[in-house]
Parts: sequence; structure tokens; C-alpha cells
Amino acid sequence: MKRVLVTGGTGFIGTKLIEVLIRNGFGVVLLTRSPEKVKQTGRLRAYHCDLTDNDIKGVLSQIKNINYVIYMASDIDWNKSFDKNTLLSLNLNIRNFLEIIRNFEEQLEKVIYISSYIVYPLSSKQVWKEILDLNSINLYGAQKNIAELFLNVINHRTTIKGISLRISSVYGPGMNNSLTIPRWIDQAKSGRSITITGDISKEINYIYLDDVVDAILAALERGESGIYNIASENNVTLLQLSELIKDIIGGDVSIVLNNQFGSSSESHRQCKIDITKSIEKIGFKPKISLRDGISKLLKGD
Amino acid sequence: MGSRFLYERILCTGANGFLGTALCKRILNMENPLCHELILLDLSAPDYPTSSSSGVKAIPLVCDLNEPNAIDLLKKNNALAGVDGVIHLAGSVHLHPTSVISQCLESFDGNTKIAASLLAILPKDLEYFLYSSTMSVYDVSECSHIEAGNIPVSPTSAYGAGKLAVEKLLNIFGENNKISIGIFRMVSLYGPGKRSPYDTRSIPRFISAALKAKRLDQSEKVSIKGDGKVKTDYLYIEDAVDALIAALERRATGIINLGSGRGISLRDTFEIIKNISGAKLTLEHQKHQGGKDFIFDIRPAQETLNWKPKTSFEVGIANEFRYLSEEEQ
Repeated sequence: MKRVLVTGGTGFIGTKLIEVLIRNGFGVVLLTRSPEKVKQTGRLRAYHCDLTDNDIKGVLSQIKNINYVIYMASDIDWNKSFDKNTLLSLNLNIRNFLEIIRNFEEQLEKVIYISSYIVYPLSSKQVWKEILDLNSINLYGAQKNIAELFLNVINHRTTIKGISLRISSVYGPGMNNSLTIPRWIDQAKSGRSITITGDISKEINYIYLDDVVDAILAALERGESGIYNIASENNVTLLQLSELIKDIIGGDVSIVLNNQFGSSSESHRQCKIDITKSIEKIGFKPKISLRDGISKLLKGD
Repeated sequence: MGSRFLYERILCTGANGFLGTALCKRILNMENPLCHELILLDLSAPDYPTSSSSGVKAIPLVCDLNEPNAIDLLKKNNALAGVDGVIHLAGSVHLHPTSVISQCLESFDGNTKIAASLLAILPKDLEYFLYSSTMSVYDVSECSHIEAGNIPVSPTSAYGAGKLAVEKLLNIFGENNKISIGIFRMVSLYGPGKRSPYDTRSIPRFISAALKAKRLDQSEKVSIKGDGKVKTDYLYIEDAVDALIAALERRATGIINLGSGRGISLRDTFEIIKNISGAKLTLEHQKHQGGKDFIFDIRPAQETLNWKPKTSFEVGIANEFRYLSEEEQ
């Protein structure tokens, strides 16, 4: 049985991923801040670990025989200013990823780092391929990109295969209810209206949870080292999204435009993402359309 | 340049290193001083005289930026209040000898994380931040003659990755606080000055061998990887200091490749040192896949800084040789 060490495994994507990993015959070792919440079995072990710590060697020393690492833990830090917390997020987003690799260096075959489309600078014109050197606009993007720089060195100089997956906005059952899709579904169902705040033409690239989990599994099983974009083929504008939700829910739902906040918040604006490499190299193909995904979300499966 | 006191307080990190020593000595003794005060931050106090011929006040600051409480300590002491210019030279060059992943961690801690700590405590009304980056941010194996604009930035060493990571953080810091940032990607420096005991660079290594051969009156072997014909760009320490002073005076921003614009091979370096010293030296070649020439196009740096390197390789090596032979006595 191949064993995968997973961080960030109790989150929205992680919970689903672990279920799928176990179903596919992997043993899973989870690092989490709350192991008591995890139902441990022969195939799933959980260890207490705070990945913002400066030193996690103690807990790592208790764990043996790890073939793969999937590093999903991340501190979504939209900040641009530096303070003491920046150092903690550097530990979580980069340092302890490297520390885990060092600890299991001799047995490791492959490591997968969950990166983000946020590494790309904002630009509606450019279609982004998997370039290594980027000028990210916030600390979250910069930290993800920095981890990729080190992964690139590991790929050049060791036998470990390092993969980084730059994932776009993930939606699906279990997601944070305050985010756009569930919020609008709720507004449309309960109040019969959807309120769009800000720029209706701003674009988002949505990808359904199951497609992301499939992509991670594909990368684990047959991905060569390198960076891969994991996203949908097309972006959607906020207006298109609201109309889609309105159409799926049916009946008379009104769309209200609220421009009082002026220009869009940059964390939601999105560039175009080229997924050709992922399609060709790891056989990734998003299967669930936004319409199907939202319908599934509505049905609650 | 005639401008005096462009800065109130300059902070120099890595003030006790090879470049830091030469640069701080210069700042302390410029005819037209750049600043009123110079904070010299490093792991130890400066081991050179910090008296100033032009009245610049030197303030040694012993601090390990990698200590978890460094931020609190510096904040508590208000040590960096009023700093309006920063020269960030501190970093880790000498990394774990074998494990690449240990090197990654060391470079992350010693280069990237210390920069983040520094950015967390600097005053936000800073005027200028100068960062000494490295040519190692480029994929050296991919290109021979580096020209601005068409260069693959893809470090293949842990050192290069950790240094490039700082550039990423600085982009955000500069943008967010509207601070001018000058990033200098530098080639290897050489010339007189103390070196870390871990330094394995060729020039001091060849000189040490020459001095040993002279001292013991015997023949010494020096080994190099490959045929020694690959040309590398080296910049003389005082020429580097000239460039950085010009950058501070102009508040030069953006990314600037800094080298001598000339390449020299290890074989030629060896011959020069052999000639200068008159020592009995022989060269031993270790099997190694040949790299490619690496020479910066320094025209952009020359234009931006109105600067040019003045020291020939022969003179520069002779100065380093003299320094090291005096050290030995």
C-alpha cells in the first residue's frame, strides 16, 4: 500500500480528496490541527500538527514510510503588508512543505503542491500558460510562486518528482457558504433576487470539486514533474453566472445591480488560464459544466 | 556626485560581509556624505573601524533577523525608526554541502525569511530599498550571453531560488508602500577583503594554494571542474561599491544586471595568479560536464547608473593577492 501524507486534508477539497484516495487504495496520513475530528481507520491516520510552527520535526519523526506528499494546507493571505503573521504564513505556505520533503526525502517518489491561479498577475488580456517566474500581486500569490521556485530546484537536482497544480476557483458541496455561488443560490431561492455587487463583467474561472480531485489523483498517478494549470476551459462573467443561476432555479428571479462599491475587488477578477498542458500531459479534462455543477450543488450531492 | 545627505539614516544589513564591509567603509568616508547616520546590522559588530572622515555617525546593530523574536526586539528598541534608505545585503550563501533539500530550507530561512522579517519592521515611509540579488536567478545552463529582456529566470540552485523569492516579496512591498526598489542581480565579486571561512570560490582558493607553495617552497596542485575554459563574469569589489553608491544617489529602480561585462576562464585566472605569485602551481582537471559562458550585458547598468567598471582583471587579482598575502603574515 502506497502511503500519502496530506496536509490541509480537513478542508473543503481535502475532505473529498481523502475519501477518493482511500477508495483508490492509498493509505493516508493526515497532518491537522484537530486530529480528534478525524475518524481514524487502518487506512487513515491523523497527527496533530500546526504548520505555522517554526519546527515540526517532532511530529514528523513519528511518521514512517511516506511515498507521496500532497500539500494542500495554505494560508489565504490577501494582504500586501508585512507583519509578524507574514512569517507564520511563510511557514505554512512554503517552509513546512520543504521540511516535510526533507524529512521523507529518502522514500519520497512524488510531491504535489496545491498552488493557485492567484500566482498570475491580473490581466484580462493575457492567456496564462505555466510560466515559473511571475510577479504576483499579493502575498498569497507570491508565496505560492516562491514554493514553486524551490520545487523547480528540487526537480532539477533530485530524483523526487515535484508537481505544482495551479487551481482556479473551486466550487461544490461543502464549500464556504459566504462565497458567490452559494450566496447567490441562497438569495435566488429565498428572496427571489440576486444582487451583483461591483463590476458585472468581471470574470471568474470556476471548476467543480470532483474535477479538481480527479486532477490531483491524475497528477499523483501519472504526472511528470512541473507546473500544471487546473481550471475550466472558459471564464464566466458575474452577469453570466447570475443569469445561469436564475435559469437553473427557474421562476421569476430578478437580478439587482449594486455598483456602490465601484470597481471590482481584485481578488475576484480573473485572468484567462490555458489548460492545454494539463490535458496533454496528465489527461486532465474538466467533465462537469458550470450548469451541471450548480445543479448538483442545488441537489446537495 | 555632489549631493550631500540624500538620506537621513541608511540601514545596511550584512554590514560585516565582504560587500557590506567595502560599501560601509565607503559610505563612512565619502567626501560628500550620503547620510547623517549609518546603521550597520549583522550577526556581529563590524570588525573594521567605523570612524567617519566626514562625520557620518555609525551605529552598529547586532541582530539575527532569523531569530523568532528579532521583530519584537527591533520594534521595542525603535532601532529602525527614521530609516529612509536600506541596503539589504544579508543572506546565506554557504549552504549545506550535499543535500539539495537542506539547501532549500537554509536558503529559505537565510535569504527569504530574513527579508520578510526586515520588511515587517521597516518604516513605511522609506524612500529607497536596494537589494543585492544574484545572477543565480537565471538558469545559467540555458544561456551564455545574458541580455536584458530575453533571459529565462529559472533558478536551478537553492541559493538562486531563495534570492529570487526576496525579489517577489519586494515587488509587493514596493508596490504597496510606494517605495522605490532597486534590485541588483550581481555576478561573483572578487578583490581584497575578508571572506567567509566556508568560501570555496576559485580565486581565493588559487591564491591560497600559491601562497602555500611559496611558503613551503614546493609545488601545489589546484583542482578545477572541467577543462577550465568556460568564461565567467567577475566584478571587482570596489567597482561594485561604485555602482551601488551611484544607485543610492540616483535611487535607481527596477532590476539591473551588474557585472563587469567581461568573461574570464578559470584557466586564465590560474595563469594570472601563477604569474603574479611566481609560485609553482599545477592545474588538475576533475571530470565535469562543461558549462556555458556567462557574461552579463552591462549596458543597461552603465546607462542607468552612469557608471563603469574601472578595474582590469589583472589589477584586481593582484590586489586580492596582496591582501591575502598580508593577511597571512
